[in-house]
Amino acid sequence: MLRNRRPKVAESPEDNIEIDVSLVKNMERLQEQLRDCGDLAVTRIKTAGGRDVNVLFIDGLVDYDLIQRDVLPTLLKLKNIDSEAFKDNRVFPVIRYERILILEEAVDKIFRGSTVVLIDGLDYAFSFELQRIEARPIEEPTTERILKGHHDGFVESASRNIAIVRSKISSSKLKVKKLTIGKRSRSVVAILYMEDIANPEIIGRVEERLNKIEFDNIGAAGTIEQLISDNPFSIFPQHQATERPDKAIANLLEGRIVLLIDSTPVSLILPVDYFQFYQTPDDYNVNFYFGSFLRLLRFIGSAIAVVLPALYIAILTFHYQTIPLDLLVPLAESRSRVPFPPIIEALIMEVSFELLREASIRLPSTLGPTIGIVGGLVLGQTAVQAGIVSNIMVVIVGITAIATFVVPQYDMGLILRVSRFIYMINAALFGVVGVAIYFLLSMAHLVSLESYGQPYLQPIAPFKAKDLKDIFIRGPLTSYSLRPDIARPKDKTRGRGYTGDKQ
Amino acid sequence: MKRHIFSVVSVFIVIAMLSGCQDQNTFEDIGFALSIGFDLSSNDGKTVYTMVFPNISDSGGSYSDKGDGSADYKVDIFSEETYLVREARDLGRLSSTKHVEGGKIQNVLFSSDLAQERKLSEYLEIFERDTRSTVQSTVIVVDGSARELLEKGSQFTEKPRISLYLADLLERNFKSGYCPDTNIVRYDILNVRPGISPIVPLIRLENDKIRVLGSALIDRDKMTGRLDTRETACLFLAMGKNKGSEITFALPEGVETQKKEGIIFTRKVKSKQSIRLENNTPVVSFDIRLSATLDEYTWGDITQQEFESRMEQSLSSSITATLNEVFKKLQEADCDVFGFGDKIHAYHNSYWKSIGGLEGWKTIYPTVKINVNLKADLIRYGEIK
Amino acid sequence: MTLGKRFNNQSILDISTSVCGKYIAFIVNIILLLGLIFLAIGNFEMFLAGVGIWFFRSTPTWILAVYLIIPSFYLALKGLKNICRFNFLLYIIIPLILFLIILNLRDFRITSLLPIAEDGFLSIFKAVPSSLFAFVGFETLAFINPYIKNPGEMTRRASLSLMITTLLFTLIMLASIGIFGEALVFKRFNSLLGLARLIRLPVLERIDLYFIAAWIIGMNLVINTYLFLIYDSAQKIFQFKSKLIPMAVIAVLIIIVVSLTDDNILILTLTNISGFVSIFIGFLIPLIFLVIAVIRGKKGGGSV
Repeated sequence: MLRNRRPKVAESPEDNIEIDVSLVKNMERLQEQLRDCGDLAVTRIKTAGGRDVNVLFIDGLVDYDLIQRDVLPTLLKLKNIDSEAFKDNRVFPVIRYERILILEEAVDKIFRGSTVVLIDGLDYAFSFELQRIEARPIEEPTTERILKGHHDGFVESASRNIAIVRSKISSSKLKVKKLTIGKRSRSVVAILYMEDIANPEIIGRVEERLNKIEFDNIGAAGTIEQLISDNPFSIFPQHQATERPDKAIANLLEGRIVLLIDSTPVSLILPVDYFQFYQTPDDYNVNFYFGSFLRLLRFIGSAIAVVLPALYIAILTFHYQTIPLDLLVPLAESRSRVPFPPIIEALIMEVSFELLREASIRLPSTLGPTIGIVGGLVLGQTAVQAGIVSNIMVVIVGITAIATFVVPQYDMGLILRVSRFIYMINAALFGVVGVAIYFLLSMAHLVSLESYGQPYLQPIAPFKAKDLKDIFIRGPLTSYSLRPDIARPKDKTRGRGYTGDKQ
Repeated sequence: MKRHIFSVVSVFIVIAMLSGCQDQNTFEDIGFALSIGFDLSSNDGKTVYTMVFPNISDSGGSYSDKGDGSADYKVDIFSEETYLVREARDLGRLSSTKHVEGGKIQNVLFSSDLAQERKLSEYLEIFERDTRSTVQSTVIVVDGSARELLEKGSQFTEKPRISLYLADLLERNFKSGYCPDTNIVRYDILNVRPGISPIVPLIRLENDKIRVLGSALIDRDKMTGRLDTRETACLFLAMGKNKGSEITFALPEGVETQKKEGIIFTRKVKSKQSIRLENNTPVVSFDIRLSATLDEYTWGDITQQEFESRMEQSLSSSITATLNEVFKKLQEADCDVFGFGDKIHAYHNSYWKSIGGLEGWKTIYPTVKINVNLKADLIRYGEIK
Repeated sequence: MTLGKRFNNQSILDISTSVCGKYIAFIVNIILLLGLIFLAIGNFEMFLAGVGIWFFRSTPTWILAVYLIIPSFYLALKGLKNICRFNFLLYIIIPLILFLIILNLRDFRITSLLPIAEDGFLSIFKAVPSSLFAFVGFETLAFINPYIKNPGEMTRRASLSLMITTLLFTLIMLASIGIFGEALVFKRFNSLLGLARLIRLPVLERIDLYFIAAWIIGMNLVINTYLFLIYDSAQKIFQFKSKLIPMAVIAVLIIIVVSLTDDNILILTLTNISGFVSIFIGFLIPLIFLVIAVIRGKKGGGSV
């Protein structure tokens, strides 16, 4: 197996240099580190008391208006740095600022968008939080659309995301723990949980794993996901990624933990069980009859998406006796025109569809629908007429393709696609027995998968009857008085829904 | 070192897996025989086996338009004279257009001569033994030669493929109660059981069509008698199974009509059989209640009370007479369709043993007294009073 | 079970060590291990025979054996906890079996079951040994003792599962005889799948294929447990260090034995003997140990 060879990054002796009293010395050292950083701006002013002051910031990250209005006038008017007011921090009219003693920290702050002020004669620097970063407005994520709920989505800034969550759960029990990880990209990861519901053991585990990460670039949620998974070699996701605040909030209230990562709108929910990936907020917005219908539809859809082509291959290759009589002759007729055995035919069609799908993600929106029509209809039809595939194959592939996207989560969709291919190969080798054996193998794998200590296939294995109401069907809201067991919540009750006049 | 072992093992596994392909039975390469026929051969006790399978050609489509508006369904048929079914199939494979397999056989046809002379279950054994073949094929006796029916039948121009035509025909008529539905496994089960015998649909080839005649009665694996469709329908009634059959009956006296008969549509039937031992002989009683709709009659007035009861009276006696005829035929053929012997074996076991089990029953069955008490009730008459 | 409660955390192999002394125990343990292997092979051969008869007539047995053992191998490596979780599939299979029986009720004749006990009780007694086969699986209790978390419940749960199994067996037997009739039932190798062949549904016609798939899943569950227990017991006797290699060796061993001895008649005799073996391991030996332990006044303590 590949061994991870992580180079040990030595701590350089510069890491702990303190800010010197002399401005010149500080600037010398800083220029060393910040050489060739063309986006660094240095403004040199003099206080009223005659001291030299350097204001350092990254162009593009700060708000000029605020600096000019709040920081510079105060600096220019500064007479005495030894005054009581100065020592008591009553001088600057800025909400958030702090004193920095170590040079490295100052550099860090500059790169984060703070404005750092170095005053000659002081052995500390001030850092003011006056950022202004152009950000995307809040809009609904395109991959997770629902019909009846709100259309908010997370944005790239972690603090704004936290704000969104906080505004919807106005409780002091919602705790936010911030960690900085990643050697160079220095991403801020926030762990959100409800103190009185979430299980402290799981929280501890998450923190531990996050702190252990030694990786250069934590740009996306997926990277973090892979680095802290229980079982990174499994194809099944062990965290749920979502851009929707309502999903994150619902999960928080069930006792799960949400990770918000700076610079990505995707949040991670953990711990996770397999059936979570089939739930959408829409299910809860409608009557439970329809919610159950939708859920069942998704399960049937995913079963079809995985197994249908394999069954087709198995039956045509090994078990022709199972074909219903009325289909027998038409099927034979259409198959007889095709020069390939069923497995090859199926692979041809499936691979073409996968290519189509992959390509359509990157197509400009003007071409997208056209290619869809061309690819889907015309290609399929002409392939049949050319005698490369049989028409039943096209129907099967079409149904399968549509069924794959019934699953709300993108990760799950990927899994279905890959599994389908493996099932097809197994079916071609051993027929229905092959399908059964691979099914057993994947069940065995699923059963042994754990997400932060919680079994992945809960509540089916181990069997927890109480939690079944939210899996294949969506029980009426009145039955949701207890929280599901997956996150081992401390407080199990969540209040009954209104049941009319019955008490 | 580890790398080498890994690659060797994986290559090995791949090759091993691919050998699973040995058992592949790709669908379009198979000529799935849809019907099989058995005939007596004059040759040393051999049997003539005829197999029919649709010929799906590579040029797309298995039938061609003959230009006069009718379709020519291509069907391949071959006949071999051997002892064994399997042997016949393999001989046929020596010259057939596709790899003949028996997995989807819909009907198994025995010619009446064969059915009367030889044991049928011996031919059916291969279906049970081979797991690929189906045991749900209908067992049929042909009044005449099975081979001729299949050969002529494949050439019908106005009808669909012979096997599908047959399968469809029998299924529909079974639903209406004119012939029994006996497939291989049921035949075998009933055949082996002491004290009960199967019956099998009976058909005949006529000019350019096939007609369902009723049932063939089987005793100890051979055909020994027959019933026509009306008798079969009444038989089902006696069994208590209502199939929604149309049964004719003789009209009561005093009705002026050229039709001479009326016809009813059976709606509900309740049949109670009881077997008693009187003086060490079994006596069977049937108590049947039949509700029926009058389907076709004439313009007379039915609603008068006493006329209705006269109609019911003549209906009852008509059907009772038929049933008595049926039982007579059954006993002559020594075919115990209802399973009286089975019931005696179950409930009166000492008696069963005393008559010597199955052997004894076969001699006693024809002498059993069967009483039929049937009461018919006309409940609806359609739109005309 | 009483024995199990007494020696709280030890499997039967450890018990034998403390009860009999080291050297005798070693021999007894080997016998137990062989018994387990025997049962595993018996079951596996039935499994292979079923699959072989129905689908793979010309594929060599060993290839099938390798393929079929893969999920069991994986699961046994993962431990007993996962095997227990995995058995949830039983919740699906048992209803399927019932479904199978219900679909066939049309052909059910109660007269096939009567008369009962005609031949006298003696012949019923004679049939008991082969029906002991229903109790196979009971002996696994002896081996999993150390893993049981809740010993108090053990008696109740074990009896319950035994009752359910026997009930299921009886049900299937009644259905098979009722539908097929005495004479035919004994001519069939696998009457459960034979029932599946009977069914004719309106659109799908033959659905025996899907029932066989369910049967495959069921058989796999059996093999899982045995494979794990063999490894576990072997580990206790021989103290292996790694997990993968002994497991692989065991799997290969089973495959080799099974491929060489593939023969239908052998399978039938195996099933008869399996009943005895199971009682021997699961009942007699623990009983003997219990007696000895009481006599010697030994109790087990703590975990080994």
